[in-house]
Amino acid sequence: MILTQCILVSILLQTPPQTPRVVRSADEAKLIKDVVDGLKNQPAGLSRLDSLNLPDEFLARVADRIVRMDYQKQMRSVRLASPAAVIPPAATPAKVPAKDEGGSFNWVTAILAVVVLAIFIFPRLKRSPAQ
Amino acid sequence: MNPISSNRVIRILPLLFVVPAWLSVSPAVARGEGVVEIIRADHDAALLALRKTIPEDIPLLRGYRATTPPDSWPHALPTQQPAPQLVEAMKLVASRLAIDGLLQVTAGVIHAIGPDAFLKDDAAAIEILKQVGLPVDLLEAFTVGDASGSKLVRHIASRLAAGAAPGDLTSDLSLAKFAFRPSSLGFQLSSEAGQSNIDLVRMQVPNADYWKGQGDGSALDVVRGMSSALPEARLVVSIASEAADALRAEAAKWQRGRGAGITILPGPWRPAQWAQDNGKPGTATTAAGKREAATLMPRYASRGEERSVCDSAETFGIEALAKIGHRLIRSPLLFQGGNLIPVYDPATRQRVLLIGEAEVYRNSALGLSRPQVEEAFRVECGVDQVVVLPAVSFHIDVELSAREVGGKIVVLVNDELGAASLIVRRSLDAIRSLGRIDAATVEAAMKDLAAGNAGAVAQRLAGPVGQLRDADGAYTENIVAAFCAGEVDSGAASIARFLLAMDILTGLQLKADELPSDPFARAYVRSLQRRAEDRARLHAALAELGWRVAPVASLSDENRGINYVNGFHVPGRYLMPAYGGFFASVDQAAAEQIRAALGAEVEVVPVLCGETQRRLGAIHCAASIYPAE
Repeated sequence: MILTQCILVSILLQTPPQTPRVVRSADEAKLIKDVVDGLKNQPAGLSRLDSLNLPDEFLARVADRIVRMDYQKQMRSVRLASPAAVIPPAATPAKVPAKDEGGSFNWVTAILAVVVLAIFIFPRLKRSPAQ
Repeated sequence: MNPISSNRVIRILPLLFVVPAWLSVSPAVARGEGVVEIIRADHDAALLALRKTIPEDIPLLRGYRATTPPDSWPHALPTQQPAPQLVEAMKLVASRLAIDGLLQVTAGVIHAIGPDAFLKDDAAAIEILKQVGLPVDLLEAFTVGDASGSKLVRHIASRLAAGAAPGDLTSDLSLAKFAFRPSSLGFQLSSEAGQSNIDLVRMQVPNADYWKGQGDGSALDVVRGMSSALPEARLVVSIASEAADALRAEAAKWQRGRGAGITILPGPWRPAQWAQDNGKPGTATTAAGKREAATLMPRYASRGEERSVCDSAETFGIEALAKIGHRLIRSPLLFQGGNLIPVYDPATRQRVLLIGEAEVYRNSALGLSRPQVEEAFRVECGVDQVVVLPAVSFHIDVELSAREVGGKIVVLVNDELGAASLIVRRSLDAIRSLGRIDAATVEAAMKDLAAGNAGAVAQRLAGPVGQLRDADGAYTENIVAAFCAGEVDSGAASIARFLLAMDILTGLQLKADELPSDPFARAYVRSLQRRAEDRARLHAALAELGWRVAPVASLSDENRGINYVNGFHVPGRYLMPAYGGFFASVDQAAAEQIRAALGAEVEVVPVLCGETQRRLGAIHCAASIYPAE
């Protein structure tokens, strides 16, 4: 049973050895809180998103979406050994999953990346505007 | 000349005149059947230039509303430095509107600027409030005493001029009656439960090119698919002017077998694919008392979930529909159409509007309370009841679709575990073909999947999954090719879905003490688990309406989903989004489940949209359909 659990967790992780293994569970909550705080600090017109009085429960769902997309982008990206073979026509370059340039993954960097993603990038990703 | 032939010529000759004459008056031809036409329109260059100055961002002034001249709403600060009291008022609106509400902030604004400015000329007073970002149009819904709208502004200004402070008005303002008036009396959103034949399909394409080719499920391919699936409905497609001719050439190939015409509306904007979001289909009452198709447009078309980023191309591009005589109604409410699903429930004879929670918050940002937002949507959309659903996904139309079956409503919803199992099963075929895993292990994994033993599957596949990548962590060409079913498919996207499916099978069964210790991985797994919990609550909320909830192997996961509920119900048929390519067998399995849920009398018609799904949408996101009423 323990072996099974270890294997399951290893599937989910698939991270390089330098990733810290002994981390308090509070760090996961802190990550979500950091993303929510990042969302609240986004500019919203003449103010910040915090002024929209959005419920934390809703923001937590948005934060979860950001975490999922960012985790998949960093840890589940499909890096191609010969990308030229599958690159689509020039008119639509953004649609092939991005190359994973990572390899020296660090979870602190990940948290920062998620927050940056929350503030600047994620709002523009939803339903990509044009092909 | 042979006399017999001569007689034939004499007999046929009149037909040469009669047939074109008949064609010219035929109602079918008048509807444009068999015709692909481009309807161009002149654009007011000055107005266009002005509109193009609106940045793709949250409007600086909260109350901004897209309108047609001469009415106008500012979206940004004036070019000249505003007076200090105006700046203070702007800051007050920006920081307090969603918290204190429209009336209290109006009082604060009037106090900051000075009540005298609001006691002389009602029209001028309203303009001042617009300039500082107040959504003054919503004041019409509030009544204090017998004052509403501009009279309410004067009433508040009078109290403040008499020496009251804004806080002194709080108790009176909190007693204000809220009675939202519809933008178009009698307008009703069209039920999406498959109860009406379809007369019109509205779509948008950014360009006239396929991503890779026909069948790739890109924006153009979805238009082709909808054209084929609804041949008796008029098809109207918006596109940037420069691509209109290319689209006409392509659309001409689709006309065979269609009974209705295709109209191309070129414009100065490059539209996104998402025709569902910038306007919601419905019917309105004409002056003669008849019903006609109409589109309810939001205050301004927006993108984003927790923010409402103004998208000018979507906001103004839709106005081209007026060129074909289509009625457009601009609502004071903010919404994205994919997050609104109207359903007529024949069992209760109630018109129910399902709303994703983000649409509530979009409008509470304008100073309305949650009950006021719900009431405003109820009145504006012509429904009896509004049901707010949690944001399990970005929009509710990737979480559910409802249909009347035998006098009751059946709701198709996502069964992500079912979808993940099918995706892994299909992927095992590819892995087996690579010779990376022995046949016995594959068979055992297949049996585990069939038995619902996800943990065992993950245990068996842990090794092979890791070994799919080369020493550098990349997928070689032959691996990608094994997950690819033809030139218009994406092997990389298939692998991404396989990895997600493995995460779902694995992650959803982990208990709290089994979660990974790495915080990023832990947060990822917990996000999957919380989504599953939210989804269960969503399904329970639908069941509480007395509706039958029918899970379908379908996955909503931003740009990695394979979704089968983002479709259209029409009489006798369900237009199902189909991923195609490598996962065509998953499409077939989902179609069988949908047939079982909806009954044999409902035909499931797949519409390819694989590439569109990789861009966070499917066919419901990409089209608006209008009933023939």
